[in-house]
This record gives sequence, C-alpha cells and structure tokens, in this order.
Amino acid sequence: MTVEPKLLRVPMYALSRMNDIEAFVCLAPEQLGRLSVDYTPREVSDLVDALQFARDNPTYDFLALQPELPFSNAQIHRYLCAVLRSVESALPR
Amino acid sequence: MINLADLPPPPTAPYPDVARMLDQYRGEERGLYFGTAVKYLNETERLAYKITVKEDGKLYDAQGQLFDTAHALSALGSVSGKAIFVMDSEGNFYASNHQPVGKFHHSSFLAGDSVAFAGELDVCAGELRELTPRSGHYRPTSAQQTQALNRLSALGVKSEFKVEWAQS
Repeated sequence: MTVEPKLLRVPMYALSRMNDIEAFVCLAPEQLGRLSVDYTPREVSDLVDALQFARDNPTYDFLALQPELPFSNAQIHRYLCAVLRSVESALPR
Repeated sequence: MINLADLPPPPTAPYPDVARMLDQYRGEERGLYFGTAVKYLNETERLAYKITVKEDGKLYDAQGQLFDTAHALSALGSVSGKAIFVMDSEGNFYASNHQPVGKFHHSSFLAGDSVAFAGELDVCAGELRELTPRSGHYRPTSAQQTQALNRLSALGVKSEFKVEWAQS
C-alpha cells in the first residue's frame, strides 16, 4: 500500500480556522453525510489510508505539511486520529 | 510616426489592489499540494458561480435565485454555513456553497489568478449577514477588503451586515 502523506492536508485544512483543537471530538453527522458527495469512493479510500498512516506514525512530522498551524505535532496527531474514527464510523461495513 | 504621449493610457482594472495566491498552492490543480486535484474554472464555467446584486439590494446566484448559504458545508472543512467567494479586479463576485477541501477552493474561481478580495459570505435569502476575510489561499488585506465592501455598496447592497476584518 502506497500512502500519500500530502493527502493529510485535506483533513488538516480545517485546522487553519480552528481555535481549540483539543475541543474537537468528531466530524458532525452532516459532514459525514457529505463524504460521498464531496469525494469519490477511491478518494475516500485513499484518505482513509492516509489517516491510518497518521494513526500508526505519531512521530511523523505532520506540522511540516502545514507549518503555519499554531498546534503541536501531538495535537495534530490526536486530531487526525479523531477524524479517522469519524470517517471509519461512517463507512459501510 | 507615433508620439507615445498622445496615446490614451492603458486601461486599468477598477480594483487594481490584488492578492496573489500563496506560492505553496501552485500546482494544486494537478494534485501537487493536496494529493487531489483542485478544480480550476475556465471563463465559461465561472459564469455559473457569478453573484449579482439586483435593485432590491439582495444577492442572486447565476440562475437568478436568491443566494443563500444555509447549506454551505464540506465534509472535511469547517461547519460554517458560509459560502467561499472572491471578487476579481473588475468587481465581479463569484461564490460557492460547494467547497470540498482539496477539490474546490477560493483559487478555483479565477484558476489561481490574483483576486481583489477573497473571503466568506453568510447570506440568508439574498440578504448579506456577514462577510469575512478568511481565505487560506489568498490572505487578503484590510485594504482589499475595503475595496470589496465599497464595491458591494456601489452595487446597492442594502442590508446591514457583520464584518470580520482582515488583520493587515
């Protein structure tokens, strides 16, 4: 499996306007409902692969993907894990 | 023989103070930034996103319907209820409620070209309720925001609305 870490910029983009990253728990149901509208099944699959890569590599330099973010690497890792849990919960089993 | 001094001055855009797209996004339409290709609209496609202000001072979409941002949303963006929009150097406005991250951004409207302003709009049944300078791609200045507000005023936008100002 080849993972494109730059795909993590997609979920990380919302961080540029997020004031409290610690308060983020999950994506809203209406957002999850948009997943299949906004992205093709292949794109969703690739995003999940990238998020799983992030979950499994907490020391990866996520901040290098979007250096202007005012958060620590650990905070971004926790956020990406939360996004992954949200997306996986919305995928058909 | 031509005396250059006799020629009329070159036409200048009505809104010449423009913001360039940040360099990091160059190549995004080929997937180089997000890993997904950001849509860049051509002149014809752009028309579907044009916003006009009619005599009643309200904002209308390209289909002639009252513009409304209540359902603006993206799966992996913010839950905002706001459309993204730009103003070009001619004073034309383009906006979209559909804004999937990595596929449609402020840069989509003018295909990565400079903008006279970029931000977000909160509009209810054509009435402008809020305007922000939020654009990760362009980071417009307060001077550029002022020219957009002046343009909206000149077009006859009547409602009072909230303004979140740019930092610089």
